[in-house]
Amino acid sequence: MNAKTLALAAVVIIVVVAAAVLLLVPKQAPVEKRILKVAMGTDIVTLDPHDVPDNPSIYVIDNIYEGLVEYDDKLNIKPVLAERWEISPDGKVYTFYLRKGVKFQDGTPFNAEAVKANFDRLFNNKELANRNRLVPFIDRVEVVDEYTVRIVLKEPVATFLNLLCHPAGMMISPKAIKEGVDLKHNPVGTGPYKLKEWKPNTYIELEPNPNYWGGAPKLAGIKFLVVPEDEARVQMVESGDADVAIRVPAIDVQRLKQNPDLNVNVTRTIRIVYIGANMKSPRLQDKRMRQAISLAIDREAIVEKILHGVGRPAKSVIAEELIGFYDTGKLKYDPEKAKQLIKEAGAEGLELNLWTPKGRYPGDYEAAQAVAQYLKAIGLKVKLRVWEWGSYVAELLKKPEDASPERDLFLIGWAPSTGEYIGVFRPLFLSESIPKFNLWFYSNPKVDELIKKAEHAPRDKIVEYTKQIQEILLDDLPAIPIYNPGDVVVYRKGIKSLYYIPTEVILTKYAYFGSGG
Amino acid sequence: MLRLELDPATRRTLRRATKNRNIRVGGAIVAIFVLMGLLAPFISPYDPTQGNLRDSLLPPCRKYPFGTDFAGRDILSRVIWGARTSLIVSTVSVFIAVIAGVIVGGLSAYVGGWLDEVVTRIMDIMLSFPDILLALFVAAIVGPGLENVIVAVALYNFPQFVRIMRGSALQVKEMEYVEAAKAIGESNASIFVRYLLPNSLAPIVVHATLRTAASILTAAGLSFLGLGVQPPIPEWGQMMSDARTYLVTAPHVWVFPGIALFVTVLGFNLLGDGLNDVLNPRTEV
Amino acid sequence: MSDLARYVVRRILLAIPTLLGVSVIVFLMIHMLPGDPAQLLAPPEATIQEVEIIRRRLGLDKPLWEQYLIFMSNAMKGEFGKSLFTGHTVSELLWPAYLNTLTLSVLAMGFGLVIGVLMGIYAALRPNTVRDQAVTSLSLFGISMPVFWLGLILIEIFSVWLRILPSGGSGTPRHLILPSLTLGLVGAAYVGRATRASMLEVLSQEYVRTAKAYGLPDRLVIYVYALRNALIPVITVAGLIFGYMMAGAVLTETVFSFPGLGRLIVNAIFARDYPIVQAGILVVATTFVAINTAVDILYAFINPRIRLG
Repeated sequence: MNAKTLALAAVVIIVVVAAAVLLLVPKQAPVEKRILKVAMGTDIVTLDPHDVPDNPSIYVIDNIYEGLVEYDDKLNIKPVLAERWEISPDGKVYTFYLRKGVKFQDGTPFNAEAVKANFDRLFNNKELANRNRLVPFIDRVEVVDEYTVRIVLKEPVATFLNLLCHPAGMMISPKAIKEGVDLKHNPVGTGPYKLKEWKPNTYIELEPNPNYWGGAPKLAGIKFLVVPEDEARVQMVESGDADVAIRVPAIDVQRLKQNPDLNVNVTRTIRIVYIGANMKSPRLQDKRMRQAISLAIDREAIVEKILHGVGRPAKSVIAEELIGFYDTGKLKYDPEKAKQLIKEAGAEGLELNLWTPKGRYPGDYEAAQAVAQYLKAIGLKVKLRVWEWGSYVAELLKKPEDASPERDLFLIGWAPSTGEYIGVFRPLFLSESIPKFNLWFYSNPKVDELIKKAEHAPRDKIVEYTKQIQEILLDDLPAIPIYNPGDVVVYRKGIKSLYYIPTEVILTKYAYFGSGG
Repeated sequence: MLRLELDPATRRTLRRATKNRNIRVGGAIVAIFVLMGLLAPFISPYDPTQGNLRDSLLPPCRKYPFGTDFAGRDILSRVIWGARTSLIVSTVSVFIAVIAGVIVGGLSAYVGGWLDEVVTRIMDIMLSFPDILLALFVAAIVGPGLENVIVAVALYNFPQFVRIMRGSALQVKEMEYVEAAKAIGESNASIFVRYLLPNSLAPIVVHATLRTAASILTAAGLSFLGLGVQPPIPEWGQMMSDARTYLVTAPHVWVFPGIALFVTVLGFNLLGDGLNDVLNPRTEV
Repeated sequence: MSDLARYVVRRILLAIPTLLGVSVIVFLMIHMLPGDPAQLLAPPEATIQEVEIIRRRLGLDKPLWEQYLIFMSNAMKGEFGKSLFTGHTVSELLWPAYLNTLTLSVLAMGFGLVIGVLMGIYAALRPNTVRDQAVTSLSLFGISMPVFWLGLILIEIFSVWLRILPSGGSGTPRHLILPSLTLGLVGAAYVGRATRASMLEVLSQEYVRTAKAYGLPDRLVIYVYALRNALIPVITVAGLIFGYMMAGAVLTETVFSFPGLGRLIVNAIFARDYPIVQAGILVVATTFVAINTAVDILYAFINPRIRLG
């Protein structure tokens, strides 16, 4: 044995001992600082908050970027980069007092100029996917002093703060904007985590932002793993290969609840799944037809048998969590009444087309088949067609004159990503929204007027108008609400402060590993 | 055809065919499959498209021998009706492919020259679209539905029959009696029908049987990927695809249609093998 | 040797127009797909003008022939452009998936060859006996088996009952076992049939009988002389099957959620992500044609008579 081998042996021993010590010591500490591994179903699309079209991207973006305000898990509004704000009595002027001492991840200070630069970006860049969530309502943005900014609206909007909770209202480093950084892949925000690596179709890894204004982040990082197969995500969280599994199939809930290592969080969403009715279809012109269809469907059974209890029967065109919700009590299951209405309308044996996507919303394809059965049971004939999403969107967004004459009934879901009622009524039911998301081609001047009034009403007056809107919509039924799906998030015991926002977003930025259940 | 049956060689072939075990077993399976398809309305216990949601995902029991699916539909009835769907898709698509393949392949070989060159190139291109991808692409373009699946599967089979027809027509073309027929001024159409077609019949029949098996599998595969026949029309591949969500909780949903699919394809493959043995004695040991 | 060289060059040159044809057909078919990527990419609330802006940015407003030329000139340089949706380069997405499918196919081929050749020999040594019939039936079973059903059965056994293998996903060697077994069993059925047939043919030939007559031991005759010759057609079959595995693994990949090329292409077709579909199918077709060409050349190399035809 020569000196060289000896030295090598010594080094090896030292390394092994050191490693053993390093491995043992942190285990005694009460709070572990390690990477949170989140298994999600699809890869993200972009890291630019002003341009983001999908939820998975928002899960990641929420850790990197912050806005002036944000939603908590009950959709209450919380200050973030704005410490407080004032609203003028006429509801048009919002003055924000900004948090001091905040720096972007590239070192640029956050101040009123930075806020202005972000709104300028939204105003000037017409390609940004989310600009319409804010730009149409804003007249101008003024810098008052270094830490005060004033946003002047064209008309009062009661839910303007809610709109600001959307990623469209998040703050990007003005330096990065100016230098034309590729923000899709190189995000620069103020949040507690920053991007380490995005490996397409595999994972997105975030590392802590040591200069975070709220103190050093509590995790060693966050890794979002792309695992498309539902069963594989479940297995990973069961085995500990992942800490969190997003979008777990409802059918697994009962089994997973018995696992002592796991928390099973069955959450609510603000999504409503509708059976849309083409108001231009000659087969659906008669209001009694649409009412009969609504009465023919056993929503309770669909929730129980197809959603396996994860979700609720729809009560209105908007979800119960939203401001402005009103239960008209009209969505009932009454097949006898339905049969009678069909008879009155002289439509016995009529054949209707029913379209559905598959796998877009929880239970969509299965629910459409259940609806077809219910319609058959009241004496209608149904021709079902399952679309793949690409063709479906293209077909549904056609102008009324170009739309397929076969469009009668179609299943579609909607969740306002702004988390408030305007995001439902305006795109879905306003006449102006034809040919866009008013997919049922519904045009009712009374409803148009009420929607506009509701948008600009002071907060305590909102329900007055939305109640009338819902009464009319649930009588006319251009969109027949079926169910309000829930969501299932499963995570390992010991993870704290993991929140689920009903806008279908899982919020990981506050999470940490603690001890105990 | 009647003239053919009087032919002593044909009679010998027929006798051999009835003794061939593959043909017997395969033929029996295919016969059951065809009968199931034809008689579905009379033998299935329930309406295959209408279930009771409250009875969803029941395991096999006295009321539902194969259990029920997610919509509460009777799986036994859906398996029986599924035979009809497969029968229609596979036979019609193979039939279209055979007719088109015989015409294009025969013409290509008979006319020859640049036409043959072009046809061969195009078939090469179509054949280098690997297997199910071509059918899948076509299905994505025309959208799902029974007719469209037939078109997609037919297109997928088409180049195979062009190849076979072309190959055997090339052989026959060189034969003396065809030369002779040409010399005495027999019309091209007549030569095609009288000589080229009958001589290519054996390999085409064998291949058509085997392609029926492959087509049933391909159509089921398309449905499995969500590009096939539309629900609630019962189709075996789609029934299995729907069952993936309930893999653990309700395996009966995918087991029964799988067995039906497997046995049917086996039947056609046995029959094809047997026919190959009989009609193509070269490979007999 | 120059004869062979000429044949090789000719075969390779013949592959080029085929692949060009494939690229044109794929390109046209993609644009025949209903649906519009610009629309899919735009957020729900985007106006028609905004969608138009996106379409222009993606270069989808240009005439078709121009789009095709742009695509092909880039493809020649090995650049396939970017995914319309995530902005990642196509190569970044394509090659990992390609590698996954390649690994899967190689493993499956391994299973297939070992099981298939052994089965084929076993059957051919005692033709028309019970064991021959058993093997023949078994391989016919394999050919008739819907791969996705076989996959579901294996999942039920190994993932649900025994809980020893994952039912889907990727990342570790354990994830490869079930999918490659599924593909491999079907491959084995084809290889088994081919081996049996070719072995029977070789065993009936003059030189084998002569060798036996000279008193050479049976084992030597079977494993050295006969098998070597019998495997030549098996190689052809194996090459073809390998090509089909590379391409036709879509169903297996779907059952096991395996991130291979087939699923990448199918998902891209659904998402209207044109560059990925184009590049993906072109790569699959190139592989397929390359394997077929290689098999043909190999065959010509082993069996010089073929070159004349």
